Amino acid sequence: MRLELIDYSIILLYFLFVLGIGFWLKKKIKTGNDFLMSDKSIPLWITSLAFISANLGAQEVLGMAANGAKYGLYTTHFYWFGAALAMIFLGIYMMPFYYGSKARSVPEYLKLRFDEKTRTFNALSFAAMTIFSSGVSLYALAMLMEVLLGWNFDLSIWIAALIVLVYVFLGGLTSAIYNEVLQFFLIVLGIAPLVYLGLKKAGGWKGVLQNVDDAKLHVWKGLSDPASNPMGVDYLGMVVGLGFVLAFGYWCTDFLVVQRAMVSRNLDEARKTPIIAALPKIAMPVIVILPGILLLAISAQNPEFTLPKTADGSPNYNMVLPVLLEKLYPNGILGVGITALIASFMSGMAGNVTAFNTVWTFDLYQTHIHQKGSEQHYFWVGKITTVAGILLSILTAYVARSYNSIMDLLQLVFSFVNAPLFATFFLGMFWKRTTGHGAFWGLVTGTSTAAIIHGLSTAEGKGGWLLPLHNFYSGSGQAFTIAWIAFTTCFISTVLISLLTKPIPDQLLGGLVYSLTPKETIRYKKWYQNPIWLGLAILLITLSLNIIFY
Amino acid sequence: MIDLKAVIGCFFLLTGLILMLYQLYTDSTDLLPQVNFTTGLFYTVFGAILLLIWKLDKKKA
Repeated sequence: MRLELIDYSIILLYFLFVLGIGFWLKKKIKTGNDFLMSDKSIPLWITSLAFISANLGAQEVLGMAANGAKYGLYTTHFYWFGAALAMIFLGIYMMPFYYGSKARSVPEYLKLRFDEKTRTFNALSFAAMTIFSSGVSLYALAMLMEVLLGWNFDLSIWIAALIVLVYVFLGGLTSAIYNEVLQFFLIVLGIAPLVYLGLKKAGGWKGVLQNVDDAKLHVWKGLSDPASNPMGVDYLGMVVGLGFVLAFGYWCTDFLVVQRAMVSRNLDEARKTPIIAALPKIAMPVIVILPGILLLAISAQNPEFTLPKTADGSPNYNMVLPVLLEKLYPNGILGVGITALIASFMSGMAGNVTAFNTVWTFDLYQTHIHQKGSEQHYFWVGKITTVAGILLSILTAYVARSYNSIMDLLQLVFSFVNAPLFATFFLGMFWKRTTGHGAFWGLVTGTSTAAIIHGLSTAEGKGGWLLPLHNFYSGSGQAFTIAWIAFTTCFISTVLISLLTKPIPDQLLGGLVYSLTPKETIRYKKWYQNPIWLGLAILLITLSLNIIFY
Repeated sequence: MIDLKAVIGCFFLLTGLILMLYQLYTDSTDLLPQVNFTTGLFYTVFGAILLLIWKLDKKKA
């Protein structure tokens, strides 16, 4: 792939805008609250787009296109089943507790609801996870630019990291959120023409139906037997593992995304943020999954579109988007496409760094190191943490380059932490009898169970490090099963330990638990202003899509 | 605070104009079927609409 002056001009224009936002916001960001919490002043349309854009990182854009080619329409379960339901649930039921409790972060809610040890456990695992994700984004960006464009690996890492550092350092969370929205439009409008051209080249949807294996063109058909669907997953794994545990665990408890709703101007807007975000989210498969399916249809008719192979001879699905960009985009729009990819990497990185600096400053530094600092003090701690977060991400990117298998292992460990977390939040918010000891030991048990199941099972040659007792048809099947078992274990252990330990007095749980929180009733003039009706409308659209593509 | 609609509008307006001018410079015949020109036109219109909304919002305020 060869870029020309026109392509570089577009990349440069994007960098100028991204940095310009940081410089522009610099004057407005004066306190720790402004820097880390955006002073709770962001309008609804921005928080909603930032909510999905924080998740629209490299893994999403490149990874979902790869999954589209590998698993076909089954990949849409991440959107039409998992994400949509979880985002609506977050908006209607969970946001009143996050926002209403005045917690500044998700771990801080755990402190208010349970105790310090549960908060610290969550804060530490989350902080490590964000740095790891940010570093992997950086590594993937530099690798892609090296392979595609022949850019120097080190230079790509340092330039991307420096740009993210400058705009986050100057404008804090507001700058990251503003840039996420710009990046959202760039990713959508930068890849949309590729989908159009791909569809044309494939011979329209008719061409797709004729050239792609029928098993990849259904969403639910074939789930009764994991051997008969490309994802290798059964109903239980898909519905409970992905649709309930993993999706709800991610969308309802991961501070990276929840933070975007927590900086809304009021509770009503905080509740609507994930619900409104669900609307573009269910349309997102057109941009991120369809290219993978289109490539299958195109390559069946045009061998030059065949994916390159990996070392073991299997198709390198991660190259779906790069191959389409190279073959379908002429110079000019190619610059926009490459900028969209760069934007997705930077968006993922900035989202993680801003979530990391908030959790570090409020949940670890202020709690365990320096409790009574001034606003100005925490403002500077937030800024220094941003620099440290970027440097740690760079270090992680280099570690990822040297020890790829260590990164796989770390990613797995973090998935063990995330799966049972939803059980803790669910019980904490809806069962007042849940205690701090129950929550903490439930999390530890759930996480350990996930690790043990992984040690006892294999999939695609991975896992089974204790004793390979069972083999899954695919890595996804293994991950989804581990998720629901870890969730169930955490749920049961939390309930049992809570019943054996001293209950928390009701007067300490007001605003933190559903049954002890007064229900606020707002009269809306129009039905679509009501989060519940809005959520139901989105559910109806999602249901229709599932039926159409059954 | 800066208005994000104006920023995004400006970005797409400029990107769209660059793409259209580039297409004009490289090939001035049959512009509309060309990817760069068509996409550039779309970006320009999208950017202009956002700028218009920003202007109207500003007037209202």
